[in-house]
Amino acid sequence: MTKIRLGMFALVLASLCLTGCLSHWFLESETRLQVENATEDCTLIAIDVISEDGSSVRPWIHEKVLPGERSHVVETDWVGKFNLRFKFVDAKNAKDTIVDTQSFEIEGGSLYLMVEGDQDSLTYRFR
Amino acid sequence: MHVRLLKILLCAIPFVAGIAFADPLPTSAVATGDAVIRDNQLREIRDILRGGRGGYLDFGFNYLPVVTQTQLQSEYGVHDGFAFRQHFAGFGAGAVDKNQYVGFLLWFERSGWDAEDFFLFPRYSEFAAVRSMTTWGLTYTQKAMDLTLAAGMQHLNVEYMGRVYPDESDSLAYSWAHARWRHMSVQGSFYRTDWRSLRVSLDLESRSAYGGRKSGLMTYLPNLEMSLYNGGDDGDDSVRVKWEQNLFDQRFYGEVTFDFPDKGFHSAALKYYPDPSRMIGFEATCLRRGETSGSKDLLWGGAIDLLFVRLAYNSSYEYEHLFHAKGTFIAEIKFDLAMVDGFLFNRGAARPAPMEASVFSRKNKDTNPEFKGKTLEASGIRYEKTGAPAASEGGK
Repeated sequence: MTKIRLGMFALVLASLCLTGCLSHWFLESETRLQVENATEDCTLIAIDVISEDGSSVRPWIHEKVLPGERSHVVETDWVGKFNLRFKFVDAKNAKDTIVDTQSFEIEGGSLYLMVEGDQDSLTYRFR
Repeated sequence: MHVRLLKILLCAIPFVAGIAFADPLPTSAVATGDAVIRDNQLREIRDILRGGRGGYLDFGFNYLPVVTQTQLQSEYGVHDGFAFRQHFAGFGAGAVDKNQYVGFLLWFERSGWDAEDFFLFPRYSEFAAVRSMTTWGLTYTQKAMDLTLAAGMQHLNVEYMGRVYPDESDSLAYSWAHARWRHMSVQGSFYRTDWRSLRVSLDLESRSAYGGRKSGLMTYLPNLEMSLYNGGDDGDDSVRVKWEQNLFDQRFYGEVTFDFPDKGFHSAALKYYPDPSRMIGFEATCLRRGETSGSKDLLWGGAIDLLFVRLAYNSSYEYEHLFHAKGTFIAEIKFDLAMVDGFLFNRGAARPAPMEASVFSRKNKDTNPEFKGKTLEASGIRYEKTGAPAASEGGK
């Protein structure tokens, strides 16, 4: 009798564990982002997620990253397709602000983003 | 070899396409999901209390393998994750007296959207919305008068609500009451002293599962349902009318729903059950989403229901109960079984499944007419007389 009860309990537990596809156990549902500033003349000051209509902003990385430096790793729940807004200042006079918004497909997990180019043309690539 | 490859491709292409072109769920649909669950649970309870006796068991959960099937569309963009719906229900009634039955029912559903969809160890991502609804009640049935009375509570428990959703009270208790007399039932849902919904059902179709007819004109009478919903302080009250009609032999049904006063046509369905016990079903549905105008607004879909598994594509049930999920195949692992007087069928069915017992009794009737109405019973221990009776009597 106890064996049957234990078996039933195991069966219920197993079915509860299977409430999602097993592959979901290995799914990255968070993003750990680190940025490298590989530009020549821009200092990165902020990366935010901006809503599609531009009305609301959620901060992601707020840190001064000089050319050639790397940011800390910041973990968030942004997994999917979002618009990221990058804010830079001129590395020399630290006054002229450059704002650049790009759409990204973020797959989750550990991501290493390289910002390259100069003030006139900034490019982004995940490495 | 090539034929097999072709067959696999022919099956795989629509399946992959069915997943790849899925539309993300709007946050508004996830936010208002609780009202849909409460209404759905009460409607299921109405179906089960058509008899008011016997029992019912149900469980199910959605099974979505791919992360792009039910993404969430928030103001920020498209989030990867899963809509989920896990439910179970149970009802049992026992005879307390001749003709009188008292029972207890419990319905539970946990649903929402999260980055992972497991029942145990939930993820609760920043954009998740997870809530559960528990409905319980006590029932009383008078069989001779064909009367059922039931009442109970509905508890809403908000487990987690992300920032992209409007504020929601974390727990609410609603009360509900149900009264059925023969083919007519009235159902009400209340919050404190305020009514939330009211439903009047005329299940005129004669169902042999509840002592009605197996065939004939009476089985072609319509099942009508009128639901009145409280629109709250700033909305208008709305009415939804549903007409379910047996089209052929209680195997082929048509369903149509209309919204009043102004929206008009809401949905229509054609359902085919190879056996009237509804253990297996095929359905084609059409739903007006109310987002655009004209024929573009209509969502055509279908579903196959195979006792333990349901597979749907754009079906109206999944659209309405899984936060407007569409454009993707949705599988549900499920089981439900209702029992009245020892006969089994699925919820909503008109006739029980043919079983060994019914076949046996029919056979008995055919071959042994002399046994008609007679029953032989034996119980307890049978002693046989052995030896002199005096020896065992009044022993010392």
